[in-house]
Amino acid sequence: MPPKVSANFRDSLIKEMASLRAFAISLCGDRERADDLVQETLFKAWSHFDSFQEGTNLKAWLFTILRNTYFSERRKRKREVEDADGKYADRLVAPPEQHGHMDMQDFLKALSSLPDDQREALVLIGAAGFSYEEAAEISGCAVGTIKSRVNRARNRLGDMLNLVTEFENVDA
Amino acid sequence: MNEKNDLKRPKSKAKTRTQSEESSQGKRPRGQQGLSPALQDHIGRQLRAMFDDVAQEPVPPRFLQLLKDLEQSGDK
Repeated sequence: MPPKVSANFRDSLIKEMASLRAFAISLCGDRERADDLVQETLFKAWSHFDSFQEGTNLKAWLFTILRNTYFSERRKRKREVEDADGKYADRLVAPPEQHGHMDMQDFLKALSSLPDDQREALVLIGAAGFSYEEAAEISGCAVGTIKSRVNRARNRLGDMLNLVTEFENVDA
Repeated sequence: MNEKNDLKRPKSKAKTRTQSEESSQGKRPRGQQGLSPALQDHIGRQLRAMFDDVAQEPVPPRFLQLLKDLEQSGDK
């Protein structure tokens, strides 16, 4: 039987749902799977309500549960998850009228080709707004590791996006 | 991988400098983190746009339903 949680806790879960979902989608690139991940995260958070210390960073705690769920699942079904180039971006695409620029497509494709740990670090720092310290805690590694992952992710993205631009110029 | 080496990077400034010198021989100017500031801004904006677009979507009703179900079975 699930524990009785405080109304405060429940409201905080509701408040964080949207950004949890954005994190899940950025991580795995698959909207349906991302929603399953969030669902599982909410369930785990609720069930382990006792182990959450009120007053500490709930958002970071939820993100930790989500990424741990994602990575352990991914390890389990590694073969299945091996993704063909670009598939991630194809599935991630938002409706074209929202940002119909090739720009965003290229960006998503580039993001999808990053190693998991680099993409995670970049999204935590660059999009979800966590500090390096928080991101390190969420990912279970040293602050320096997060910094180097973010740097490498940025450099790689930069190289890829530059390449894309150069190709486009050649084509035009 | 070579993450352990990366951890030491902040201390070994000389090495970092050599690396950025090497890359600055490439065709574009590189900033502090190895990228031009314009490209860094671009990446930052794209990242946030992607994330915020999704975060602004309404959440699937099943999330709220799950909490409702959990709440009810906890009350019993």
